[in-house]
Amino acid sequence: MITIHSLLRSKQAISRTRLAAETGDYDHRSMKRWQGNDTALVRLTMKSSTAFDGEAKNNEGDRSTF
Amino acid sequence: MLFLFSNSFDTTVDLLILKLGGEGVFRYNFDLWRDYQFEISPEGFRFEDPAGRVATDGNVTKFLWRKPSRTAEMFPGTKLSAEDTYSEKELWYALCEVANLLWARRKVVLAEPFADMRVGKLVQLQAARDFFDVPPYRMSLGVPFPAAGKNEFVVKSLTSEFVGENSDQAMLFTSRIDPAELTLKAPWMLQQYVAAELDVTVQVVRDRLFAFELDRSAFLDRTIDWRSLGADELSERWRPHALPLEMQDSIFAFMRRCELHFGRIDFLCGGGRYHFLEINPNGQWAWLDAEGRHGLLNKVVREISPATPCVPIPRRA
Repeated sequence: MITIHSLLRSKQAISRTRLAAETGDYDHRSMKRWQGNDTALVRLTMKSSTAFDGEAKNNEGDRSTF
Repeated sequence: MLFLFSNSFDTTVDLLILKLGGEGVFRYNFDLWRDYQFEISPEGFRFEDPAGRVATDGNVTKFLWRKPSRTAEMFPGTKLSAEDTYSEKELWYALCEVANLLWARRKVVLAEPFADMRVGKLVQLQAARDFFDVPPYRMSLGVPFPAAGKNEFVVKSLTSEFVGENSDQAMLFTSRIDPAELTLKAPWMLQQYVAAELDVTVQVVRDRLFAFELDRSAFLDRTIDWRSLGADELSERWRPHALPLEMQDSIFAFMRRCELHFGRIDFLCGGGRYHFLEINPNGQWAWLDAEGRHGLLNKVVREISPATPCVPIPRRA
């Protein structure tokens, strides 16, 4: 029998540690974490497989809590 | 002033601010809520960031709901104190009310907050049947599946929730299965498998469409779901796609039916036919045009710019 567990696969994503290391700390003055002009990192982190975009999740801003 | 509601790891907002410039923009990152001052009273709301920028009822002309996330969503497994957990929930409630107030005042642009609560995957699929080819589907629990050939169907996740205690990012990507082998003790979203040469994704930005295609031969030997591949593997392979006029008309009609100004629609394209999969009303899009070569980035910037007229999303009753 196929169960949910038997279909799970790891999500390949950028760790927030790596993202923070490459982008630096969030800067309130510039309102950005990423300060560079190289969009490769931006593309990488924007793609839907990253951990931060919420793309795949339907419960962003879960309304049930308010 | 444009009020951007997101999180500090949202590099799409970084890119938007790079293009917009910081003038006339206020970014509120919910994950950094301790850094901001905030009050809401009968006189209205007022936010102040550590750099001294101020957003108020009076100066906010547009509001964009990007990707605000609470700690539990962004950093699963993080232990917050009971008081911090309570504080975050209280603040989240208040921030959602700010969004509601601005929505009522017709200042919310492009992305509809909580759109998935109104136009989720199953509602989308129903609506899409009037405009597109929609592969047969069924969400069920405990009901035996009709006989089908092996690999004739796929299972997919409605929520894309991670599974597991430590949130080690294991999730159910779309997978080909034999329905007869599925346990009936779990809920399954099944859809007929479509043999297709291309993934086509169409980002709708109110009155413009931006279509891109991905040749599936690059990964079909490993997966049928491009989202399961590494972030750096496929993002360069998407190419602009010429949509037939009738498809463009259908997409706009579908968006009107769903009362959405913004969303990324995924299709499979095989044998010249487009098969609707889903729309993500607040999906990612910037990786398709990070350098602004295809018009998508510039269109979004124009729509949200505090310097252009506000075209609000429909107001909910």
